[in-house]
Amino acid sequence: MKTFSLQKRLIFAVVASQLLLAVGLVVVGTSFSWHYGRRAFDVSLLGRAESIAALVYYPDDGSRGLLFNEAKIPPADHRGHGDLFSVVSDHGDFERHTEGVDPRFFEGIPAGERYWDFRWSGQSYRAIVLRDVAILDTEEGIPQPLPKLTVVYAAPTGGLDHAMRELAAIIGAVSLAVLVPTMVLAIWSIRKALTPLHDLATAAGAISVERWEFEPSDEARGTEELQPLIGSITTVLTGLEAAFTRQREFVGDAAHELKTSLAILKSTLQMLIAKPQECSDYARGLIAMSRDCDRLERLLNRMLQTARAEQRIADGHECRPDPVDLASSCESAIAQLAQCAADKKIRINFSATGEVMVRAEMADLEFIWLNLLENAIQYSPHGSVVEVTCRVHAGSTTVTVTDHGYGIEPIHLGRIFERFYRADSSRARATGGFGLGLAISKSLITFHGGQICAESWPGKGTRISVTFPLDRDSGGSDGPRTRDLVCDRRAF
Amino acid sequence: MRVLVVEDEERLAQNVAAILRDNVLCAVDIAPDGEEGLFLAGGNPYDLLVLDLMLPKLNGLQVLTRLRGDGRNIAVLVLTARDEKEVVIKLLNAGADDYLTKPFDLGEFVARCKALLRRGKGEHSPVIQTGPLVVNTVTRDVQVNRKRIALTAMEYRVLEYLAMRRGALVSKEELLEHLYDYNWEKFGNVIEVYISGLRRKIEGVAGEKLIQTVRGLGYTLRRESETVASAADGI
Repeated sequence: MKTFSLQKRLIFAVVASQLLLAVGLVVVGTSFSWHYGRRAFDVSLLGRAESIAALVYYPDDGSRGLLFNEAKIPPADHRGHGDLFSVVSDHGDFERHTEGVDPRFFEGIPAGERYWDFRWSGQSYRAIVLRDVAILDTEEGIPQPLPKLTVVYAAPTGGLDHAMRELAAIIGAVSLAVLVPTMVLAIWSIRKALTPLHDLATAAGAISVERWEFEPSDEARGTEELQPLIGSITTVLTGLEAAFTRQREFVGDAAHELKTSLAILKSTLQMLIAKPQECSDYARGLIAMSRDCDRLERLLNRMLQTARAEQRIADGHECRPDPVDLASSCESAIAQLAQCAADKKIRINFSATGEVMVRAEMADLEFIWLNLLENAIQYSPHGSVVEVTCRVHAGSTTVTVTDHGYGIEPIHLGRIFERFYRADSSRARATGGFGLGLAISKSLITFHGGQICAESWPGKGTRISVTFPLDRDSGGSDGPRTRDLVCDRRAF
Repeated sequence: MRVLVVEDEERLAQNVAAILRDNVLCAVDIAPDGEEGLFLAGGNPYDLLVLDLMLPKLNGLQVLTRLRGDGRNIAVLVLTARDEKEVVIKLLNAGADDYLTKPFDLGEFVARCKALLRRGKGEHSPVIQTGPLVVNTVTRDVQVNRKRIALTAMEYRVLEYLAMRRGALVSKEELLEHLYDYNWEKFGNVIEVYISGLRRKIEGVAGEKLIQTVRGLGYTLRRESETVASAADGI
């Protein structure tokens, strides 16, 4: 794609419009002045023609011939070529022309026109014709009808044309004189005005996968028009960086977990190979490696589950599974963990307000409850109680799993849903946890349109709440049910 | 020699400790997290620290930075799952002496540990020669006047330590601290038993006194250039 410079375009537009303005000023100014100059010229022509007419008079002695006062011919106001005139009486008894001028040049007078232009002897002339002019100087006893005069007067227009050219030159020169500094000013201010945009582009151009900092200059920040852009770039970048960092951390954590598991296997194997051992040592080593393999398998499964759960959210296609009963999914999970709870003499209390239908995969729900209950049992002391409740509110339902265990420190609480995050590493490792269960649960809950949140009181216990939207089409309830599942050895 | 392994994965920590005990003949302590690792490293004269990078509480890099910040000159071998150049550069610049990516090879791990232990004592050659005594720290072969001497594991460890610190006065406490891990009761007379065993086996073949006892202070293995008399004078 062809690129262009915003700055160059703007400068070009401003310079072009200023030039156009200057040319327009010259044209309009000159033509306006020319128009008025011409009118003034015409008025002066009229005056001169009339004064020529006034020079025709009757002699005082009563003779009939007309006379012309040569001495009072108005002087030509133009150097070089003089004015031309012609006075003719309609009785044919009087005719006077400018000295040495062929009277035929007046023959081309256009009919009906008062003024006209012509060229004569290399000069431009403008002429006026006055018809039927009465002789001013009347004497008594002159027989009627009195003769009428036709006066033609022409003056060279060279002076006017010269003045107009001079005027155009002056207007042009002044416009140019003003144009140059304004152009410089315009270019400077365009450059200045575009600086924040330039700064912003440079700052945005500096962003890369390695360098997430976006630091627009104060000028760019202070520009009103750029603020929405800066705001959205910052927001997008923050989100992207966080996602990128999370992804990088996940890969790093996954590599660490996998390679550590592999390192255990490899070192055990190499120790067995390194030197001849007793048969019982080989057996011990093989059993340990078998357990390590199981652990590695569990880790891989967990990681795949994590990836799948997140992929489902990322794919985001419409999910409309059949409605299932939330309460029975809880019961199923509780039943699966009964033995585990019984081993620690932990009692699981379950209470629900009847059938609660939500649209979710049964397997996903069971995974979530199993994970939450496993955690609750793991972090609870012997003989304590874990409570599971299922309550319905307006349009949604909340399942809470509450334990009376060790609790989670506030600094860890905000991060327990992160992948590979273990608030208490040694204990989690000892029980075979990878820090992925809650992350998977959260992804599954998000996928089914729900929410999960955790509250904890260190030393007193933890409550995890999961909220799902209710399925509106099938909201049946068969009355409250409360169940007490006493999970100790006597019960089984 | 005494090594601290800081690794949160218990199975791996146990394996690393077993490898070090069997192949490097050293005392090994284990710390399950960064905080305890830093605490142990601060309070004991370890010759080598085997440090995992991803640790709870304090990560490996933080442990390393704090350790170097406190001016501790202990050799550090970092075990890491990540072998990206940036990570390695960051580690080495933070003061790590060497690194090994998981899963590591047993032989390579042992060789690197031995090299680091050696260098920590100012040795570059794996074979230490002083007078008639030659100690090969790789094969753990000890010769006096070109005759192989059969030593018990503990006797070898005492001799190796003295050989690496040859010419210097090594106290009984120093020997105890470097040869035993936390789980052992430390009795001073154990050292005396090993020293007398060593003397009997080595000095008999050498025909001269190699290990000098400084009563109440400790022991000195004679340097090649020194005579017994001048070593004694110097004390």
